[in-house]
Amino acid sequence: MAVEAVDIWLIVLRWIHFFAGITWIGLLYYFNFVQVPTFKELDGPTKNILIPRLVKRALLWFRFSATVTVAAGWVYFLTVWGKGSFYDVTSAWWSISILAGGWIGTFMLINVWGVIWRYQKQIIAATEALAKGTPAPPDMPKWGKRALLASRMNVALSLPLLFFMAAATHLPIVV
Amino acid sequence: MPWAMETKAGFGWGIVVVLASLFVVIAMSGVIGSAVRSPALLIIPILVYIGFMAWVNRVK
Repeated sequence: MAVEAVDIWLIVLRWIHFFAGITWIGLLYYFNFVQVPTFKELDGPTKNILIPRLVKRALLWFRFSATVTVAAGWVYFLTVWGKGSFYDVTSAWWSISILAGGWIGTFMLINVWGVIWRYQKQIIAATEALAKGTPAPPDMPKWGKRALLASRMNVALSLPLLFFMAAATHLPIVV
Repeated sequence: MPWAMETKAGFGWGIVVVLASLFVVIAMSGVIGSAVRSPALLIIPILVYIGFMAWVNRVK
């Protein structure tokens, strides 16, 4: 069977999607399962050292890997759509499952930029200002709580997301 | 790890978003490849999500 140029393009997109997706979800689990409980055990000055360094760097990889994952996913889907047919063996089920995963992933991306990063960047800026002598704003605990809520929601959403992404190809239900 | 308020709320909203996403996708499935039959189907999950954004921004 001849390999078409579009198939090379699709496998490149899929690889980018996997690479960025593993980076994104890996960091999401790191934040929720490792960093948040660890930070609860640390004192203020230690957290103030780690937030502008460790957390800032982790969030940089986190939000951009999320963007690349979702962008590559949608370009992949639209390329398959533009090809004129979904995969022969999966057709309707593939499109239902991949779109369900795509919707959930897109919501998660909005959470990353719209809630998590929106509040975390304020926390980072306040922590950096604190090091220069500016007192912490009174709203700071509220920012952390809101970011954590969206982060927990993303952990919950990642479970069906992974199921639908894998099930699109590996659970061939005839619909 | 305690079953904290953040975790409960996160899973609660997560379930609603998954159900809304599934609803829209399954409702669309009959017409995938041609056109979306009703814009309301697309709007439902977006409204669910706007509800979450409005709620989370009021959390103290």
